[in-house]
Amino acid sequence: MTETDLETDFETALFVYAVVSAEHELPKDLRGVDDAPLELVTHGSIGAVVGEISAVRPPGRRADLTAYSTVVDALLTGGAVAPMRFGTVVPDRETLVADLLAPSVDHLAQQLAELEGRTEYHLRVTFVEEAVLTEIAEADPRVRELRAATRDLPEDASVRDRIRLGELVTQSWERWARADADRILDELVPMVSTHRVRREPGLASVLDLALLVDADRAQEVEDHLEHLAAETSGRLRFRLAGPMAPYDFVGSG
Amino acid sequence: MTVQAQRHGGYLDRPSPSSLADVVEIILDKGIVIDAYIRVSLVGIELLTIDARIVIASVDTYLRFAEATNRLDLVEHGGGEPLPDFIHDLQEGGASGKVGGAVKGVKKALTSGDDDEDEDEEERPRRPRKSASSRRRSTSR
Repeated sequence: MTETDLETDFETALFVYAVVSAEHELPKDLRGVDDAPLELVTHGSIGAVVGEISAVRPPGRRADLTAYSTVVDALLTGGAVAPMRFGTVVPDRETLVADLLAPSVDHLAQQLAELEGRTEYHLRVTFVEEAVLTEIAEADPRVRELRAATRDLPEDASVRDRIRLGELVTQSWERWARADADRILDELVPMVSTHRVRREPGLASVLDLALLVDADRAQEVEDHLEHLAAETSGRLRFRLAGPMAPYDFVGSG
Repeated sequence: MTVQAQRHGGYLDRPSPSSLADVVEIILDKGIVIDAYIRVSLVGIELLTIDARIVIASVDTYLRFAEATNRLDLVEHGGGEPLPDFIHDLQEGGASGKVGGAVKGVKKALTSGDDDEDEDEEERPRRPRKSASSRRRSTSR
């Protein structure tokens, strides 16, 4: 059987939300995609949280994404959760056990053990644009000169200089982003269990990180970030999402 | 997501988690993936990633930063004002000077953009602000 057979051979399928411990207690009345009730299919020490969906429905509506995320995060109250990638569907319970749970039971059990008592945060740090552009202009005479040279000219007359100006500014921006990122990381890394860089420092952000934090240090991390944010306000913006399921810290089964 | 209510002094932005933009950024392309040969299918990825855009930083980016720099009112800052303490020595970050041409691609996914505006993106993906000529589209991954 091939993947394409899936869509034609089955009227219903199982949407797989996450892998949890076999003893995991599902929150009461929790419903998933298509408002379907949830079920725990176990194998050995682990289980998969699934819900029925139509196999012939149009795929990937936005509501599905929200439903998935709601389920996975709600599961956190019952213990460690290893989220499945959004959109994972298997034809039936037998396939789920035979193809997903059984071959990876040790690996998944170990992963759950590593995630136990830990929680994920996302940290995004960005420059306050006006403040940093001002610093760049003040620090670099070439920027000031080019700015003076292009500011009052029509756009057509100064394209070359304007490109050069923008190039210098973005170069400084990236360099400074990297330096600030390094400094914040140095402070943060000892406080967290693991971290993953979601996006390298650059024009879009200074830092874009997923953090895996021991639950008993979560408050400390939050407090420290609040402190850093206060200390650098006006220049850096700190945005912290979480605690949430450890989406960034589960690998392939 | 189970983000808790803000309990701090308020410098640290704790976004409301219900925004679709946040959810997409957090979960898309994440989670356990099982080997492709087994009878498992991923539904729903296409529609979401179609909304993603990748903008390659280019002349457009330079011009945007040039414009932003030119909008500054530097005179009022006096030009010689000492920089805030937090900015450390440029030497440290800039000694290498090997950043030429290293402008990274700026990923403008469905969720990207100014943090302040995330809440408004519930139904409509953000379009890059750049002109069409310099935009390269691609589904992400």
